[in-house]
Amino acid sequence: MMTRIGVLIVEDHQVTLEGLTTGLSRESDIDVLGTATTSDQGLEMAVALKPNIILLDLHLPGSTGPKTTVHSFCAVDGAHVIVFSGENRMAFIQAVLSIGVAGYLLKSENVGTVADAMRQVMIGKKPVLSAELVSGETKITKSEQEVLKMLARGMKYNEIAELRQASPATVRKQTELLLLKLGLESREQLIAWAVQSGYGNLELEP
Amino acid sequence: MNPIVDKTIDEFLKYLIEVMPPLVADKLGITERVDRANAVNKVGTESGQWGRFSNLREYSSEDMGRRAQQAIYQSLWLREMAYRMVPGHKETKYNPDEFAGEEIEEATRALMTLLSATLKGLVLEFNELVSDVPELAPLRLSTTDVSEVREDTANQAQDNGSERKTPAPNEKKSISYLRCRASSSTWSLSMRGAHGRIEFFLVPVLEIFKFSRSETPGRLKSVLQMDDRNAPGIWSIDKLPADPDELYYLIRSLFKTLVFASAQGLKDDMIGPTIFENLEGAALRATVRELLLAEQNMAQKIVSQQEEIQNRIARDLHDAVIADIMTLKRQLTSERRINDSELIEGLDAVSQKLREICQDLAPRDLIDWGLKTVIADLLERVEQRTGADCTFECERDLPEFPYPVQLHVYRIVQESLTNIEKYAQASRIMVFIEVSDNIAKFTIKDNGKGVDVTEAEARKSVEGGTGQSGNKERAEMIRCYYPARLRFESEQGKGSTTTLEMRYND
Ligand SMILES: Nc1ncnc2c1ncn2[C@@H]1O[C@H](COP(=O)(O)OP(=O)(O)O)[C@@H](O)[C@H]1O
Ligand SMILES: [Mg+2]
Repeated sequence: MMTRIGVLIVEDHQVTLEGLTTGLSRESDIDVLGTATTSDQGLEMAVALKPNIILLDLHLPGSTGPKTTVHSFCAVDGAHVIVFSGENRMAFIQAVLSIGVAGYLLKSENVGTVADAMRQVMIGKKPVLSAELVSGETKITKSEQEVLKMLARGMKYNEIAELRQASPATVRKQTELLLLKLGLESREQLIAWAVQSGYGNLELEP
Repeated sequence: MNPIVDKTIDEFLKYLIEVMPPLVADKLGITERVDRANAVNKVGTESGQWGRFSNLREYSSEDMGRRAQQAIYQSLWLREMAYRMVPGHKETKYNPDEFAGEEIEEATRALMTLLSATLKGLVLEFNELVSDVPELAPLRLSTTDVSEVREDTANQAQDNGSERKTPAPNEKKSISYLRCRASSSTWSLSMRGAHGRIEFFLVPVLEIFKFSRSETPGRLKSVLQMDDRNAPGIWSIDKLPADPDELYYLIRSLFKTLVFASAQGLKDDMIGPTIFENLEGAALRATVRELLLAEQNMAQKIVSQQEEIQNRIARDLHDAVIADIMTLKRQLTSERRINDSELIEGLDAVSQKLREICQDLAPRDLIDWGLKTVIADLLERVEQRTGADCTFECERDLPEFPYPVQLHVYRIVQESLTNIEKYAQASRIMVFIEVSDNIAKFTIKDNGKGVDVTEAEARKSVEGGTGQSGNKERAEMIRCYYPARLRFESEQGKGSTTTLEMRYND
């Protein structure tokens, strides 16, 4: 039995909004409960309509900034927020993810993918990201490679931090980002992946 | 409102404000900033005086704007002060034919108020006094227009007056005048004004308690005199009509030397001679010329900066964007036409570059996302371009600094990273942001080639490197808001570290 998913779309770009609304309405398990074009209107509707999922654009007219927008929507009880944005720079995406959204999809995604992402969120997968952002090894940076080498050697966060002249919190953040990029779930999986990919045999940078 | 007084003050303020060091506002203790914001904006836009600033460097719009605003607050404050001191001023109708008596008194007060406000950090005293004539030997006073004479002083004055010479029976013997005294620990600048005449004396601080005897003709350094016959309401300096430039520079040289010297804790004996050279007729004129020249050079600098910015935009657009679009066009029209996904990729690259150019000109992201995220993004970009091992560390969220502060911090970090990219050939680059106990510390560090700092300084003075000095200027602008310190440490072969620290208030 499929659970029905109530969706609120908050998007100021008319064409995108229409496309999403018609597209998602065609999905048998999705109800588009409402649409809004500003942050304030969206928040009101979110409270009134109690959607399961809020599909949220980052840049809305009249809002004080994407972070505040995301914060206020995440505060709505019982709703999962999936951000839908053209912003593809990792630093900004991370800032949004750290607020606690359920997903982050790029605007280049087609409606089918958006619907799938919603279903995944509903069964508890978090966070759901666009495939382009989880492009695996290609996006791994030099500093992440160093961390992977150390993880593959069985080193702990503290030890890694010391060698990297960084704080353990920073190393933890980096591994979290690595999990996201590689589509992995846990630190153990990450270590296994690093060993398998041969990071343990690579020289550490001096 | 008296248009001449008004105009004099306005002209003054206009000039004063333009280079008003931010320090002044603080010295003046302007506190009602927020309440006045609306009034201020109105003044700012109506007069349009601040338009000039918008052409300075990028930070002008922000910082100069702030400076100008502070100055406008200040001007409002000054005006209010000036007007408050003139009972019924706003009702006074000005008639050029009647520019005498009260109007002259009024203009004198206004100017004295302005002078004292300018020097306020050092002003020990600003009083309206009543005195008998002999105490004020050089001050050209008419004893007929005295407004307030206190009983006791009047009596006392009468005595003194009779000692001096025999007065006409009905003549009033006392006059009221304004005195302003600004002192360092060894020198005192004593100003007294009445009746369209303001006199400046340099007096050793030990003697200031005996005004009448300490203010000897030899110590009279300059006189501002209002010509009430030929050009009513116009001040002249040492008998030559002073234009607003000269009045302004007079004030500026007073202000600068006194406040700056005190703030810097310079030797007091440096204060005296410098100011008062400036105050004297010929020397003042020389100073004015010098300062005007400096201003022109400034203008020159601004123009060339603008040109440089324009050149950079042109170059970026040419190199990055136009070239890419031409390539795309060629690919679209060639035999083997590129497919849609290749086209999209190409368009993505172009829009990315355009975005970077825009970002560079006006960092919209900074407003949207805040310093922390934007700096993280900067470093990510460096990482992509250089392939170096880059670490960004910022465990706490940053407090919300005023936008101009954010902008300068961002630019300092950006310039430091650019330098690393250009010169360091580093394999490791780190940016740390630490916040604790109201201190925010930004560290940008590389393990590259490094540079002999003294050598770099020397080369820069020859070749004119702009980055480091730009950073210094920006740190200076941050100091409009918070105490801040910027350091660049480097050693040949041992990498470089740039540190910016600022102490903020919650
Ligand atoms: N991180 C760095 N590593 C090595 N050399 C540096 C670094 N930063 C600055 N320098 C040196 O200091 C000089 C001055 O830098 P700057 O003031 O930014 O001027 P510019 O970049 O315009 O040459 C540079 O020419 C360079 O030689
Ligand atoms: Mg440079």
